[in-house]
Amino acid sequence: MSEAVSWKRVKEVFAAARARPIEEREAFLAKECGTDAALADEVRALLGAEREVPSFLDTTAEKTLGSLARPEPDLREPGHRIGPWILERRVGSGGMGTVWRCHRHDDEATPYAIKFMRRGLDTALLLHRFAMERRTLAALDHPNVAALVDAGVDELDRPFLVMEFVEGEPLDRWCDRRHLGLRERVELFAQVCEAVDHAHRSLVVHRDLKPANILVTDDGVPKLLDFGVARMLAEGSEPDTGTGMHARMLTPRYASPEQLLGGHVGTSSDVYSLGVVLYELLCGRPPFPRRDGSIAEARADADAQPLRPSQAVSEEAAKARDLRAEALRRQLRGDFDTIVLTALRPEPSRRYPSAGHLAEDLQRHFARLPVRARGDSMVYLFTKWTRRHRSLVAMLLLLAGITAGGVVGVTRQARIAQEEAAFARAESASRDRVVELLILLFQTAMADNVDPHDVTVLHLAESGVALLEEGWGGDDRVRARLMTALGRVFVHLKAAGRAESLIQSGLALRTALYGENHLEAAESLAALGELRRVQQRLPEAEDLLRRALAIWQESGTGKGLSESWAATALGQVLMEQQRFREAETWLQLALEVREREYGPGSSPALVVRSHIAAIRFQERRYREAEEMLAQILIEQRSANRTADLHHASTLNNYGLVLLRLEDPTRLEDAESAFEQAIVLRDRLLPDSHADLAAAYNNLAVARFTLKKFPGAAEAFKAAANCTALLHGRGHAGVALLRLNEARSLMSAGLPSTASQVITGALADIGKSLPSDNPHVVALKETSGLLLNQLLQSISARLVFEELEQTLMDSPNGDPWVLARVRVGLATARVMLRDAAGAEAALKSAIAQLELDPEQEPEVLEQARRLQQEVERLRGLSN
Amino acid sequence: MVESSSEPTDFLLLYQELRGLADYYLKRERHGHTLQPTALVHEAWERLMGSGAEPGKERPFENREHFLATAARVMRRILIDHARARAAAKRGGGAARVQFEIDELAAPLDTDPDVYLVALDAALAKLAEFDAQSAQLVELRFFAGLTMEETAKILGVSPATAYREWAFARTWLHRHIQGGTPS
Repeated sequence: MSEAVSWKRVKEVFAAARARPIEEREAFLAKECGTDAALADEVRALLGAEREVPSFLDTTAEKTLGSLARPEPDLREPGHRIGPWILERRVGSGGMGTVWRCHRHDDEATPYAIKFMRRGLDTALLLHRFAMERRTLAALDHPNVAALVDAGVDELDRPFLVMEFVEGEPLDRWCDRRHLGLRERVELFAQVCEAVDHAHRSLVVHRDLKPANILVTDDGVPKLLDFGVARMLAEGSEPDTGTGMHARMLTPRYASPEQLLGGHVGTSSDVYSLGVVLYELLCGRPPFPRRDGSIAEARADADAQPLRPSQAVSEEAAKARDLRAEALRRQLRGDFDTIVLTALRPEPSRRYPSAGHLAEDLQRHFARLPVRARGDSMVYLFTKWTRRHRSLVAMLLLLAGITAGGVVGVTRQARIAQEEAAFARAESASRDRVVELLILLFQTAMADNVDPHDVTVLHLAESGVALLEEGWGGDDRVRARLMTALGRVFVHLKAAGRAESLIQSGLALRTALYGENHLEAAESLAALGELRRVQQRLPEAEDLLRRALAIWQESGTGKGLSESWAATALGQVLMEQQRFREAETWLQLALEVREREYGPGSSPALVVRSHIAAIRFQERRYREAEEMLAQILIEQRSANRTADLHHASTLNNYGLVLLRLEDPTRLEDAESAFEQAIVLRDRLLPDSHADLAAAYNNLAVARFTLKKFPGAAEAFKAAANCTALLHGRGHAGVALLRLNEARSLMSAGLPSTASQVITGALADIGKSLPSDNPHVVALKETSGLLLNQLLQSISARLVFEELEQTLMDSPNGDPWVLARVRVGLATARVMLRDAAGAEAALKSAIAQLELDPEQEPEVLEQARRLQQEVERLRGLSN
Repeated sequence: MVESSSEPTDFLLLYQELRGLADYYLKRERHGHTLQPTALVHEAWERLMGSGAEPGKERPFENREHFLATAARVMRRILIDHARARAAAKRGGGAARVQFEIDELAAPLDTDPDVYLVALDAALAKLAEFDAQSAQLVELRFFAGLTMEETAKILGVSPATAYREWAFARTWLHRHIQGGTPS
């Protein structure tokens, strides 16, 4: 379409189409445009864009820009109306703002609480966030949770939140005034736990649980206040620097160490806070008396160990429970001590996995069942004993017919172990041995690591290697199978070096035992093929996998489980080479076998379906990919398979698809998917794992896209830390992530923190990268820009001068970057009133920038303004 | 943005006047005043053309329409400079971009008003190239804060036409800003 010719026509058709109802527009366009498809497309695009025009374009620029400061008199008084809400009386004020009792203008009978927020919040973000979270918050409908019903801004642009009004007394006071005994207290508390658990299952974390937020009504019903509020306010304000919103909203006495220290805050942080509340309810004093002051003091105390509740009992507390101190001590000793201390473990992964588990353990205590928290230490003692009698125990277990679940079912990792065992059982001919080995591995690993919670699959596999080295297994046939099985575990963990030697040894043993074309050798070939895939040696991988598949097919045992496994790997290899159609053929074959052998919704079948979804993703058929992944997630949830790595990668991929959909309303979902993936990966993978780093990076991208800059910075930081563990701090990938962290911090309005990050990153790079490496250049450029912004002009000048030299000396220096650097240099020199120096830098910069004014229009603009500034400086000195 | 050297004198004169007023009000912002183009423009009119003008001094504008059209351009420049400064402060100087390791990620939809306004200014220059009237309408309406009726009067069109033009122009501009440049 040529602008000059049909501009008028586009306008006419647009105006005419716009005047029609939406559903008639398409027909109108077809009629009006006839064969002029370009015209129709153009108008269609404009009609589509109209919905996205930001609302401020409909006001005037003054409204958009002139909102820097407004007078802030508090005009609120009873009877004052804000939207549909009419104020009744002020009921309190706290760290976040003031709270009023109010009602809807058309319903005087139902009271609500309206919370006016202090300034310093991004109003637009808060409202956006409320709109986004409305659905989640509606799902929070629970008799023990006070519902959040509205959000808005008052006439002075101050944001407010409206929630159900609860008339009640804080949990601790309610209990003390009624002299409730332990059982009544714990029963009330368990209801609270269940409400928290309910919210967690809707993916809402409270972040500020404390007795003041847990009111008990006259009828004795506990009600949780402010659910969802913390998150809504936290994101998009400052990150956790100790002075920002997070800090202001944090109650140090009840905050978890990760909240105090600025780590990842999740459901387990609420479990911790519940632990503090429970501690106080039971023994009447706080677990960490030194955390009652400032955040800084609390932080210094973050790794303190609390006294056992039974040791913290005072005479006074006992009296409030109608008991003598000794009796209270006796009641607390044992289960209660264990339960509370489990909830209060400093490491999130070692606490109760959910508030529901905490409630359950309390109920188990009253039902006189062994509590789970104690179960751990029993296993621990058991394994400690078995350590000296490994092979004997292995035989005993086998003879006694104890299954993996029976022995290790008490801990979280048990599920992984069971799953690995189930896989191995079905896929390997030597199933009993593998099960046996896994049990043994688990026991050994636990004993070596002292604490069962810290056992990971990696530990299991490592202890397997140790056992093999000790000569465990006896028969070479068995040993070869175990080597291959363990090798595959290492492939899975992306520990290629470990995997290589195990698989190669297994292959050598088998070739010697059976020859090259035996089924067992095929399994080793396939395992090696899988390893080569992980190593990105794709042609080798393809060759090995095809060889293995050919052996199976020739032997007539085709379409078995081993083949499905190799076919899956081959599908992935082909997929990674963009050979989607071939890949899909093999994956369909694998899927068919697995659905037949394990069932359609089984984990192995879902894994293959994920791969097919990945093909759709790479073909950019995002809608289809989204549908497939959503279906997989549903099936994983309904089968309760939400604690494994496959669920994590499904979530991660789902998040990626949502990002690609380019639908702004789905970005929050993407963020949440990445967050969930991270929780799982954090738990199941070593900190140095590439997948964990990738998930953090993806989360950061989602947050950045959502303009949640502080959150983005936090996630980039986590990604950088993971990558640094993997490749070292001087790695280029780490530099890039920290650069992104710094840029997120800049966007968050925190230039000095950003500057610290950059300085740290540059120091870490040291000499490991050449000074003209693009990442290093970008870091230095950002550093200079930040210094300019912070008015540290002398340092900025130094940075830019060095960088200018580097780029001029480098054979691959980008002239556009050089121009930008010179403008940065000129800025610093102008600030230092060096007119001649600034002019020199500007002259060459502008010459470059004017070659193509579209390339860096803003930099060019800045350069021209600097030029004027230089002239002004000249004028001053004359 | 047009270079100042090429601006006609009436623009410069009004620029100085409005700039001075704007600076005065911006400084007082923290005391509860906001930058209101409409008020500024009217105050400048009073001082240059109305009863507030120095007696005996030449009146630089032919009429109120001429004055308002110029004032709209001036306000655009002042407001965009203001937005640009704030946007630059937020982004740290204009050159920083986030690079992601995920390829082909779509650029975030930029609706930070300051950033958006800077982009709007450029898009408006483009629009003026082949539809000067639409561009002027946006200036009068959006930057000078005139009502649609006032705007229509200056442009010499009916209010209905002005509304139609406005609907088209803002959509086109938005599309242009978001990268869907009509070809």
